Amino acid sequence: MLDKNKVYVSQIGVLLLLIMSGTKILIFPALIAKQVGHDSWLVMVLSFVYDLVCLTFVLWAVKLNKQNLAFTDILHKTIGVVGSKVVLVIFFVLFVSRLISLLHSCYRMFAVTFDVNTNWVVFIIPLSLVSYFAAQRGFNSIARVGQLLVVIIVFSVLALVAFPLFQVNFSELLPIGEAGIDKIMEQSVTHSFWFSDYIFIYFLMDTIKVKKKIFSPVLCCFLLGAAISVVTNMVFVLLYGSLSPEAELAMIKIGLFSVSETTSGRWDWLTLSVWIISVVLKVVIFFFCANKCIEKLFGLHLSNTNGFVWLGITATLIVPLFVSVEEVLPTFIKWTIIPFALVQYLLPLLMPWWTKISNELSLSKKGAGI
Amino acid sequence: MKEQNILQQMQELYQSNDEAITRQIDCGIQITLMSLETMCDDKKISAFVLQPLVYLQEATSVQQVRLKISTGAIVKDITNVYTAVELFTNGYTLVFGADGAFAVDTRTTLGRAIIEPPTSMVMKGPREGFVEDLKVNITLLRKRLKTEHFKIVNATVGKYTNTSISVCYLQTIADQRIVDNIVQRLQNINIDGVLDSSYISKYLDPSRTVLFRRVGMTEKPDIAVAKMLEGRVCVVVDGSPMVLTLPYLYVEDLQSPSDYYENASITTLNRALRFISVVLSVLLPALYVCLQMYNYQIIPLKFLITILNATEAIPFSPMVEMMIVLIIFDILREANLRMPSAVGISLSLVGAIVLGDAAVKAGLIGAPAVMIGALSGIGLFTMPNNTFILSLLRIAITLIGGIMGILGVILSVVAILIYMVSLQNYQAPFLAPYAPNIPADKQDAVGQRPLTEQVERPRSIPNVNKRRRG
Amino acid sequence: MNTLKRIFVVVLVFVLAEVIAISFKGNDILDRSIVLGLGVDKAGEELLVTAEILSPGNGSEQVGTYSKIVTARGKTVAEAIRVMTEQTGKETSLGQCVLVVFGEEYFTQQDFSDTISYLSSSNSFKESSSICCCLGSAQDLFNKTEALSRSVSLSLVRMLREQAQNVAIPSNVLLQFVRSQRELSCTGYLNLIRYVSSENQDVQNPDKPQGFFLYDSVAVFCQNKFVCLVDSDLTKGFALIANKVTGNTFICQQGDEKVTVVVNSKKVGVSLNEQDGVTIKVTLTVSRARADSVESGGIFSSKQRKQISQETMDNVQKQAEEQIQQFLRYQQQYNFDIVNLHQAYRKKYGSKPWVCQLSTTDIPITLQVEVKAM
Repeated sequence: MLDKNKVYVSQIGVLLLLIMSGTKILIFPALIAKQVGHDSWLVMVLSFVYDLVCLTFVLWAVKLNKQNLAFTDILHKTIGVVGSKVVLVIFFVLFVSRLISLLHSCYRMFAVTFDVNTNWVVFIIPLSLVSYFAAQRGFNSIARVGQLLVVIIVFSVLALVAFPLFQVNFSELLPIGEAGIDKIMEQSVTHSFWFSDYIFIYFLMDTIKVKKKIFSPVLCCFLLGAAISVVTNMVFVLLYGSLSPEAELAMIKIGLFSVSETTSGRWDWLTLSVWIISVVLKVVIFFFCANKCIEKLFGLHLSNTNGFVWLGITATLIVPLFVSVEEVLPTFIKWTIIPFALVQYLLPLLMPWWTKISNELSLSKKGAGI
Repeated sequence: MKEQNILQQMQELYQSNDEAITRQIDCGIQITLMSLETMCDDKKISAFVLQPLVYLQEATSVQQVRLKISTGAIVKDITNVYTAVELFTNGYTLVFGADGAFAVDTRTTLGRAIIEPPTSMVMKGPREGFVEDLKVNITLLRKRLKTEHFKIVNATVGKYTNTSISVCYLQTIADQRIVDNIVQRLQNINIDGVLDSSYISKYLDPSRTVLFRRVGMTEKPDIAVAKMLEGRVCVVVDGSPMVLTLPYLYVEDLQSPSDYYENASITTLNRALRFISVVLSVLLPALYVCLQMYNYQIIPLKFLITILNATEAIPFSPMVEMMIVLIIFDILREANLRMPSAVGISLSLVGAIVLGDAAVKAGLIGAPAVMIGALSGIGLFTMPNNTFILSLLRIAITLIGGIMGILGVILSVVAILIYMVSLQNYQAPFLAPYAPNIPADKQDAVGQRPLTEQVERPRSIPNVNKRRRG
Repeated sequence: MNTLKRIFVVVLVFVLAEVIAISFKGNDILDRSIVLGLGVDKAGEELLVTAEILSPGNGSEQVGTYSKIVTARGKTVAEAIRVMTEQTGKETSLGQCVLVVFGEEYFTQQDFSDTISYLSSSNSFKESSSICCCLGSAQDLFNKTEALSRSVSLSLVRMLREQAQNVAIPSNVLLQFVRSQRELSCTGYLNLIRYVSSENQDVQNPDKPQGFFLYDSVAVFCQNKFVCLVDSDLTKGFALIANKVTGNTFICQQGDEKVTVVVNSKKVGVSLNEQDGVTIKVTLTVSRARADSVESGGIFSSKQRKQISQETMDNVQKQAEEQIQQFLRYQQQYNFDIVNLHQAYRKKYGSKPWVCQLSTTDIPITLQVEVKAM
């Protein structure tokens, strides 16, 4: 257990708040609007409700983890070595695929918005280097950066949404549930890949400093993040209506209407640049978790991040160079929905129970040792 | 016999040294005096050593001589040749007899007067500054801390310089573990010589710091005392007017000595201004280059027209143009620091007016680039202790921003922040109280609450006494 | 080994920096033709695209013209812009374009779906840009720079974005127009710009043309095809039921005095009533027109306001009702819906095909106008 990876519960909450809105207000609104039109916000709300329940269970598990056992230790003690390796493989694939989707949307955003035209490999190398550097300095550093920037990042999102918020007419969201409740529920399940950002908490279970209040700081941050995402999605759908499915990058499009005067320049891009830091942090966190998966899978006990492991992860991210993400990702998500749902939605429900069992086992082992 | 050996060895060590004076006096027993002409005060030798010896005609032992002539404030025993050398080189007069030896303090008090330090001028507040003399510096601290809790631990560092160093702290506030840690580090220093406290600061930094200094420095005793009252430890080095303070937080760079003698709201405003200036200084040149090369849409139309007009005839790319401006600025600053003040003014004039104006008129550099470079340069001076580092950072970010656009700037900022938040010195996180968030400490960070409301000591600095009052 | 390692790291860093530097391709502003406004005209079988582009002056001086007009032909706008790039030798950048103008021949005779689609699906073109049409050709309109002594695009945008809403003229941006052409009734409008030349009083430049733009009427489109013109009188009725548009004036006799009453603020509610008809409820807040500038202080102005009699308010209500009814009759006559009455049905029944196909003539409308004094 490394000191540099120690985090406080409040820091977990802040990070969750920052990374929640990552892709959800970037490419997700357009994807979902294609399926359910102006009811896309309902899909989001529903998915956040699942997330809220699962997050509460994960936090409960953290609270029960009195022995500060690592996630893999808990898995070892409950489902055995093979079972734990399977879970870790699923997690690794999940993190890498989410990294790819996240980086791909970033890549599109930089190319479209900021005119930064480059090839995929050269785009991911600097991001990968920053992630490597961050992991070297410890997760605590990532959490602290989140803490340092949370206020300005949240304000930058609010600044982008504030002006369009008063321009749109919320009554146009009526009739609620026009797409049909069953379709909305189906979409929330099929798009679950984009949710459950709390999964990074698993890999910090042994390093979280638990204080008296564990639920309220994280859940408050989660609710704030969810509210921001849902409102942003609403504003986007109301602004773009039938054009929403074609407007690929929601946040960029909303930004167009966040400055009233057309001739004043795209000042919204400056606030957008601040918000992008939260996307970079999400990339860094997922890199960190993917790296942890590899370490645990191969039983490595490294004090610092291994450069070769890092290179390996970076190499897997080069996949979009050979296949089109837009075409492959939906099929991939369709095929992997069940294994991903296992770790995203079933595992959290089991975690408190497993944590309790493994903690008791660990305690009895220690007792026997004495 | 032992004393005679020491005397003999001393005479051998200094036989070729003209400033070493040896004199023999008969005061009943044979006494040999040794002193360094340059380090001793003639009057003190005369008053504390020679006169008593001359009047003392019937001494029987060195011990008697010591007791009778000890009009000197400090008299120390000489036990071996090393002590003898240390005392001798520090300005003591050595007194050798057949059955003993001792040293009388006859150090000269050469040194400059206590003046207002040029690096920390204030409109309001005390104007005393530290000098090069350790004793005077300690006196300046002691003058402000009339308490038995003010403790000093002395150490000597430097194989050849034998520099005296004092570790000062308030026993009832400072964390003893930190004091012990600092003393331990000082004792472990293996160095030829210590010519200034900055030598020591390198050894007190637990890990190699590439950017950002992590040991505080002050030239003002009031600041040093204020830091000690917050639980910090001061390290005073003989021969240096800069007193080191530990642990050190980055927000201290935003704080100016006069902040504490002003209204809290004015101080908050000033600090916010300093913070904004620093952020702008580091990022503005990079953003200007990025906007021109990648994101021209951000620029308001009318300003865009101005930029287009100004840059059309420039033969360089925006990045090269900005790099030229920044490097010229750094050359001017460096030259200005090295020049005598009178020449410095004319150099500034030549640099700013002639070079800048001529470059714009000749069409080598655009006026907006000069303006941005100058604004950025001036902004750096709001944090004078970090000017060099910040200047280096802005050149690096401008270079990365020029190559990779806004993506490069964002990644650079994230990397720098990750580096800064990961720094920790003597259990104090470098970016406290913002990362980690310590709300109580924000009473005196970028914002400042009135002094009357600052009830608690900063939690980011380890201390054993949490409350200032009440 | 240590030295070798160092050399390896240095070489690696150098190569990486070199690769990154080569791979990121920026585009200097000096290599771009920054378009302020775009005009589209029909020229036989082709399109004539006129662009007002930023043109820097000499050195750091800002005086003189800072925009110039470039034209190019092509089968589509995209092709014409490519030709423009060839002509200027610089990349034509539409990222700062604030205005799109369709010439008379183009918008009346041709379906401009492809142009609208090209602009709205472009990543860098702003959906918040103003869009309008003009009498005569767009090229002529852009060539009025000299008459205006300023950029045509910037002047028109200022008029459409900032002034129109205060002088009882509804105005549109590209996004709203594109949406209007594909949602529900698929009808929308564009402001119609006219150039009116005025007499030159300048003795020093007697040959210099002088004039101004008028934009008090709108053209109606259905699925990007021209439907009809709404003249300035009817536009007043439209303005009364358009949200966020104020400035309608009414002239009434109050005792012996003829007073002008102006709409300062208003609230428009369009809802379905029990009979499945649409109720339009308009609440106008009016005050007597003052010799102050428009919007000076708005509702927060503490300047003295003269009382308006009940008789005048009744008169205003009557006039407003008349103007709105006149417009609604015209709307039914041509079967368009720029007030978006269909939205009321959509809110209740969803986007069912019958809602979209509902003819405006089949929508029973109940109008309620209420006038309040400020």
